[in-house]
Amino acid sequence: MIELTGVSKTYEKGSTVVRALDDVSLRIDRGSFVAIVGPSGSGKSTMMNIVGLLDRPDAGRYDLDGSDVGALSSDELAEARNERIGFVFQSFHLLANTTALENVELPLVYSNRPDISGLGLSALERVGLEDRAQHTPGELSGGQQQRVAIARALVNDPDLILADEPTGNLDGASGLEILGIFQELNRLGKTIVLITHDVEVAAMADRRVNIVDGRVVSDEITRGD
Amino acid sequence: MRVRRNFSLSTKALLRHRVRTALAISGTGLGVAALIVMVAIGEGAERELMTEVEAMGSNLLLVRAERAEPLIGRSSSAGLVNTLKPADVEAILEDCPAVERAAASFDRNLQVKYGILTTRTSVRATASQYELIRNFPTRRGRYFTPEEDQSGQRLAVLGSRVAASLFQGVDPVGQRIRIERVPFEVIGVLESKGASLNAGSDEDNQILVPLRTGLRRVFNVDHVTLIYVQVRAGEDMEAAATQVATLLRERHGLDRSEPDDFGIDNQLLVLQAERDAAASFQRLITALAAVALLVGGVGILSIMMLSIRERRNEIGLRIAVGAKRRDIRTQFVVEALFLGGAGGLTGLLVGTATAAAIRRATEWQTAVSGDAIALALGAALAVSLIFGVLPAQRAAALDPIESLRAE
Repeated sequence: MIELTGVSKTYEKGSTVVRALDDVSLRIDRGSFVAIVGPSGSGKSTMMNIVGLLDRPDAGRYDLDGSDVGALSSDELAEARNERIGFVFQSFHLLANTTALENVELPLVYSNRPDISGLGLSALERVGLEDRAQHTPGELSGGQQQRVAIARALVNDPDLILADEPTGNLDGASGLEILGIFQELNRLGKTIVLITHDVEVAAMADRRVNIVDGRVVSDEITRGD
Repeated sequence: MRVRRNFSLSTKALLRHRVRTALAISGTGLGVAALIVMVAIGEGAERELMTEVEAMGSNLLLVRAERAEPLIGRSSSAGLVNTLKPADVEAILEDCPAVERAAASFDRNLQVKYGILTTRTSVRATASQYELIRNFPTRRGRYFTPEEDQSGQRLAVLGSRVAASLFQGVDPVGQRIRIERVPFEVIGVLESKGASLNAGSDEDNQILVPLRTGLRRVFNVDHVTLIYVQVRAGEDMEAAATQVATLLRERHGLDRSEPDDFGIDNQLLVLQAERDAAASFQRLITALAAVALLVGGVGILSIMMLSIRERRNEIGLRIAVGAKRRDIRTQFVVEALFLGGAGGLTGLLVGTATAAAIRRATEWQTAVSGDAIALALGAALAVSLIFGVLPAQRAAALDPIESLRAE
């Protein structure tokens, strides 16, 4: 469960101060599928970085699964990212000339889990790409690359998947396929936070949070359970 | 577990950028190769010196008869050089406290016969002390004794090569040979020395006869050409040479204005000079090796910097999926060490091959020792560690958000 209370974040760009998040309070329950929607520069990426423990708020409090992450050291944040959060990026961020399987196994390199054998392959199976395990990203289509990235996000079996414009670099069909995978993962219990500027993409989620100029302007349930 | 996973990651990253990796490796490789060659030359020179000292006998001074030049245009070696007498040897032994042993020597190439076989070889009249002074024992039989020398017996000790060519399988000891028609009984065969002290003289190709017998019955002279002087252990060679020179000048009645009628070679000094030459060459290569290693280190530094700049995305991703700062640092330090280690091994191969080539092409005896290998590999790893830490720190300090956004 994610709970942001009065979270603010400002950046200095030259002489101007950009207020990326302005007193945001938001609660995302475990197992929900939330779209965070806003135009470019609205602060939604800052929101994702804070929720993903890549950045710390200037003010306010962030509780993840009931504990304040503000108290965690940089190493503890790294461990939390490794164990509890899976990232999916717009540009996939797969290592070139590295097989799909090795890409999927990357989070395991930093894992403290004693037995990691087979985890990479079973994550690939979950996105239907086990037969592409030895292919490099260059040998895969965009949709397949994003599925590899999703497998990488799943390999440590985190509760939370953070996806930043996951369909932004894909054609319509591949995008739908990717969103279908997120829906399926959500049905299996994963919390999905999808960040997008695309209203149609956001429509796949159960709840839509609109952000403009660093503030939550609307928060609505779009699909009943 | 983590270290092993990290290591395999690092090697994979390096394999993805082959040209760059090869460049970084060649820099340190050159430095290590130069280091190996340097140490090989140095150790080779040292070993050669030790063998030569051993072959020659330790603490040796050579006193050569050398007539002062009374006539312009006549070389000192021409004509009769008869300034050193056997009595000079007794005087040296008696009056020079720094001297342990001394043996006079006179040698000339003569015809030697055994049965119907004839050969020409160097015949040397000398004292039995020759064995100890030159560290030149017999392989079979024995040397003549001082008493046999005094009583003028016709005994001969053969160099190993003479023995082999004259006797061809027959045991020479107890056989009779003729040196310029004078019969001698063979009583011993010398060990083989192999390496010659001075170019042109083969110490295995000579016959030793007692001094008095040789001078009277074979050469018919009353002087000697050479006195071998062994200085007491711990005594200064220069001081001993001065004692001998002073004594000989006095005995030969030379006044202040006259030059020496003999020459004294301190063989150790000659070898020392050889070693100094090798050492100065070694210093040159050491400097070269240091520069090459430094260049290799800077190469590693710049290639790591370049690599980290290009791989910002990857670094950001790694941090996002749970890499700690120290994981990133470790990864790049390991990459640097890998480059250095590979450079070290490459340099080791190239250096060893170069040392072998030098051995074949020159007179230098090069030797690649385990110490040299450890030193070279250690230097390569140290350099790569020193030059790898800075880029690794920089990589570890990258901001993941900006790194992920980088094009």
